[in-house]
Amino acid sequence: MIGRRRRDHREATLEGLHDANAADLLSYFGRRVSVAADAADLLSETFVVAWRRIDQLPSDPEQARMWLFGVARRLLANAARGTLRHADLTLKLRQHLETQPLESTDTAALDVQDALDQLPPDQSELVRLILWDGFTLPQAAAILGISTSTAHGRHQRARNTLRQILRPDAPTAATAPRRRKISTT
Amino acid sequence: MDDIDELVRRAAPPALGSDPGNAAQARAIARAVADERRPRRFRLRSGLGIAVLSIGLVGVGTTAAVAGPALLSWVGWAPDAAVQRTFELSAGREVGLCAVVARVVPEYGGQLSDAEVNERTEQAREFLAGYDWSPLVAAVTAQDIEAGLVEEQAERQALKDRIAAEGGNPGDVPDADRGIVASTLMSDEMSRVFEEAGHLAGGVSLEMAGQCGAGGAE
Repeated sequence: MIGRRRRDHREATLEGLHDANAADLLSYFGRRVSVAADAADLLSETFVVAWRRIDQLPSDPEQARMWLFGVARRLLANAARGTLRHADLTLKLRQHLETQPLESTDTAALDVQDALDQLPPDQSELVRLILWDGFTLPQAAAILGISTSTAHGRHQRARNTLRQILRPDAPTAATAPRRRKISTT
Repeated sequence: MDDIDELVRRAAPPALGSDPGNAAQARAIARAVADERRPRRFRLRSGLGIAVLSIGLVGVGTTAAVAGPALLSWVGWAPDAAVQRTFELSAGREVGLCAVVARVVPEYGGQLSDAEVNERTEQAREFLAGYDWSPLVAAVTAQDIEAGLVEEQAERQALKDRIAAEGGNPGDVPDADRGIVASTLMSDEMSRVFEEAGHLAGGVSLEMAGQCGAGGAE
């Protein structure tokens, strides 16, 4: 009797990871591309690259999820340089997404998006990961491949800049009156 | 979260993945890519109506010549190794022939240099072509196939249920058959030995295909 059919653990893990994160990855790409249909191709390419790099898949589920979004982030950067490929298997989703405009008509939202675009890219992406995609700061740091302390500093600078752009009349952290607690004994 | 955070959060473009139709399509793409990319799993092709009720080994061959042109035409590549196993029907009917072909494929683009990938690929090809696969394939038993059939059918039923739940057509998933199970068991054993010999440690993948029934050796 030969051994029972085996299913490689890492392959099963990767399949589960993709299945669980497919929708979130689609949202991630959809918030960063100008043409919604391109999100389908980026999604497909992310899965392909993840399979190719399966030997690098972290065993920890949380780290594996961050690794997958790290793959997505690098692909997005490459796509911005014009290397996006159209895959046949994304055709159906592409056609569906072509009917879904991404442009907001909300002027307030557009102002905020413009403000984000004025930030250095490493800061704006950090803010998007946290406030648009729902990652915690340490998770966003892992996706960006930076330390949590570095991410914390960038996040603070990004928020200060956004406040100056979006609330120009409001006092900044540097100019706001400071409360002091004085105790007398 | 302060007011600026709240402003930014509310300015987020719509989440495409929150649309159930988009999400289902996204998961379908994940599965399609997995089917294409899964490097160590067997590519299934439906057997040609073979009904193996009990099995007796009639012959085993392990030269490239044993793989039939129908199978080779279907896979579209020259195998590094080909294995053939003949199964006999219990009622004395004609034997069923299963053929499995395999080749080594380099995987560029990872952490290894192209030169290292090339070297690993060559070593893996030598192993695949030179290994005596006959005893391994001959060890497949009727019990293995029956157990595999039950497992395979359960997996397919789960897939059908999932597709139905997502609004798809479960009829697209064919039922399991013994021909598929037999050739899958053969390929699984080959890939196991291949992996245990250290040839799936990066830079190399093993591509396999198989068929049972007349097409396996036609």
